[in-house]
Amino acid sequence: MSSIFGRKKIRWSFVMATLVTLIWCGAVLASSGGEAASGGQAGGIDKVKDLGLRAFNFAVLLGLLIFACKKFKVGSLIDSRRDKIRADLADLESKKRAAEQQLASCTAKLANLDQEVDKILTEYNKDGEAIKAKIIREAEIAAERIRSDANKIVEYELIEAKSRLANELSGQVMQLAEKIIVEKLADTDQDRLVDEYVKQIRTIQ
Amino acid sequence: MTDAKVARRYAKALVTIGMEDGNRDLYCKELDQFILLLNEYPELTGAITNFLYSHKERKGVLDAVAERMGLSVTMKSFLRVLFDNGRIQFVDAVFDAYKKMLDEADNIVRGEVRSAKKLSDSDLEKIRAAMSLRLGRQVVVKVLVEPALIGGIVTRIGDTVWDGSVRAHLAGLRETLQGGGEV
Repeated sequence: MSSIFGRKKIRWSFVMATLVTLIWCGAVLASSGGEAASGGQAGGIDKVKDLGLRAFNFAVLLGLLIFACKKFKVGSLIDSRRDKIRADLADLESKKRAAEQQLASCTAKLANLDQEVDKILTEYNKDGEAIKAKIIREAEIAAERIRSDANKIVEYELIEAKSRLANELSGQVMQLAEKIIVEKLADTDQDRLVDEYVKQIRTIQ
Repeated sequence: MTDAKVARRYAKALVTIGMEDGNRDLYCKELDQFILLLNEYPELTGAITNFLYSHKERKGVLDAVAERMGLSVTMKSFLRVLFDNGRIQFVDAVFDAYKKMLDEADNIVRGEVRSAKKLSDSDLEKIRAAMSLRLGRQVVVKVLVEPALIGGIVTRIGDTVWDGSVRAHLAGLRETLQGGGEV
């Protein structure tokens, strides 16, 4: 309020209101004093006089009020206040409409929220299934590769073991055979070996 | 020029002379004896080949040795030529080349026969005859006894080896067992 009227205007309003009150009180005291002094017959004239004073008092008061209103431009203040209130109302109305629209949007969203959730869940499930299928496929490939590698390793180890066993066995067989041959080989065998050797020399192309 | 080429040149010259005068075997024998003597007395080799001694002194030693050995005039001259040309250190290689050239001329090929046990003359003759028949040349072999062969014989002539030893058969059997490896 102080921002609208200002301190000076408030002070003037206070002074004018005090004057009006003093004048009003003076008029009332004057009228009551008159009654006490005259009494009796003169009561009808006094009433008219009192009425005239009251009317005069009212006119002065009204004039002072009008003067004060003009002096302080109360009309323009009221107009500006009304315009501001009207603007505020319009602003609030627009805000209300915006809020209502937002409310409607939120309500609509809330109404579609279940669908959105279902859609998101469906997409997530779909993606999850795809990822699952991919993981399974890759796992199968890896498993096949591991199985193949394992088979190769087993085959290689088997071949190695066979070779090692064959080497050991052949070594033992050769040692045994050499021992037996050395023990059993007679001079006649040496002659026979020489004959076979000579025959081979002759037949070799 | 490599040592082998030098040796072949001098050996060829000596073979030519020996063929012409019919003393090739004598020259072979004399060279062999000379080399045996040098091998037996290394200090004698040093006296002939060591450059610390003068050329005249070394040549004097060579002449004295040749004279003492009773070498033929041709062989003495041949050794002097080798000495004067600074090739006396190649006399071993010259002798090897000389023998090879004589063998070539006589259609002889030399080799060695290794046997697990001592070969009888008849067996050796059978082997030699078989080799001669196969190679189409007269074969002269040196016989070595090698018990590690277990049994049988191995013949090597030049770079060719005919292995008929029990050891070779066992090695082949071992390879068969290892290669065929069904367990």
